[in-house]
Amino acid sequence: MKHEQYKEWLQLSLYDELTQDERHTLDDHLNSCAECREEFDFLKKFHAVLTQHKSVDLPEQLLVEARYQLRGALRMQQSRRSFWDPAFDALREVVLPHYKIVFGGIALFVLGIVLGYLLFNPSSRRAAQLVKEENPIIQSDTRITNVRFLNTDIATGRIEFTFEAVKPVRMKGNINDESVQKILTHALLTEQNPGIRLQSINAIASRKSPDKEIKSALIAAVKTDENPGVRKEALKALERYPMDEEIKHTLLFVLTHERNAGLRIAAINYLDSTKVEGQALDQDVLNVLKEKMQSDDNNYIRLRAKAVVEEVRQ
Amino acid sequence: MVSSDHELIQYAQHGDVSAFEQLVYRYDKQVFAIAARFGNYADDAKDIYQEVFLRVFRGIKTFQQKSEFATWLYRITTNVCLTHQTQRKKYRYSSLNHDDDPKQELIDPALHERPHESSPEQHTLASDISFHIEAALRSLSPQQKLVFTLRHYQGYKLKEIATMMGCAEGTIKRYLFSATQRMREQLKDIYEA
Repeated sequence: MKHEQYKEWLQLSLYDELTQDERHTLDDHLNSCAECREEFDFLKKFHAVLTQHKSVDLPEQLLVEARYQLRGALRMQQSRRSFWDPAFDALREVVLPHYKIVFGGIALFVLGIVLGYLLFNPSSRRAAQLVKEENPIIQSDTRITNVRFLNTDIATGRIEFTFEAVKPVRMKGNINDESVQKILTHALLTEQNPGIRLQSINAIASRKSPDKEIKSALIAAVKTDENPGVRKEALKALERYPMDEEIKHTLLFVLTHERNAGLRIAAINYLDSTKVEGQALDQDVLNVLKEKMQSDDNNYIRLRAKAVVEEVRQ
Repeated sequence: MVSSDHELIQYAQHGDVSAFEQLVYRYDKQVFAIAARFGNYADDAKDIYQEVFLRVFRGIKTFQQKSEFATWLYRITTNVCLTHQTQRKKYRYSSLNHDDDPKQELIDPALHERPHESSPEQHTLASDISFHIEAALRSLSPQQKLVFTLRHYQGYKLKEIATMMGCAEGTIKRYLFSATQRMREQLKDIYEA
């Protein structure tokens, strides 16, 4: 066997990635080869240095931020789904698995015809030119930021870059309009200014009838917003919704993970109020409350949790 | 009651975002750890993390559960890492003001507290070595870096990495070997000093 192969095995043996036969062959070789023994000693030390410096304890905050941003992106993705998407999904589930290849072939054929038409039809080329000339980005009130050059070729004059175009939009409408709600829900999840997030919640909360998407956004805010004031307002807005499993889990999440005692108290009060409305507290809730009455660092929360649990027992 | 992956996937396939999020939270620490180790900057890690789960979200409807969810997820993670590295490289060479962007927070072990190192001198030395190790890691090709990161830092077996990356195990062994050789060259001054 070549020496190079043994060198690879030496390294793999440090990761415990050799088969038993390979290990025996390597051990035999090490007994008779001083060069490989020296190499092995060195590799052990080198491996130890790399291992010693491998622990990066990532700040938990980074993961929290990433989760928060993902939630916003997921809501955006969801809100982009058109009216026809659910119907198309249903059709795909029923029909497409069997005829996927046929549909794919037809789609490719149609795409080819459309592309050919667009590329070689003179009138469509003129239309494309017009679109470029009437580019909506180049308007006086559009703010262009974050220009990044990707490719620049001085010889040919060709240039490629990206940028962000921000256009101010003024919108008037009713809080019950779907488009208004979508924008406010988006603002609630992604706006950097906590004041705007608060205003969005207040506006959403004044809506006449409850909405599933808004409820999800409020839950997201309760769980992940960095500002306790925003979290509290979102929790308050959630109280307008009838208690269900999702809200129950959100309240339990607040009770177990929230650092702000005011919010934990608000969650207990919310759970207590559902009891008044005739809904019994289930075992999950009681378990968390029992845990709170014994170990919460806030005296009032311990007493409050105890009062709710004891009331149920009676 | 805790739902299984299989149930959560089924709910997510019918548009239940909160089920999808539960699924995310089961695996996202590992994905984030890979992303953070692979990316050089905190923003890279967050970008990779988001891109991975958005791809999963978009693809979950057609995920037929023939393979484990985790296998599929890590396959996507490795793809996103490799693509991200290529895009990042392109961007780095052409951007006008990348170097002086104050928002770019470097993920560097040297920047984090090490409670077991008692004296400031030890801390400085450890920081210095960590800095050089990070620099050596950045000199690897995307595939080498990914294999090295997954094996050395994340502790995945080579067989698992081969499944994640869709390569033969022998190829992964070669990547690991060449990565270590390259690291060795890059860190020569450190261990010979």
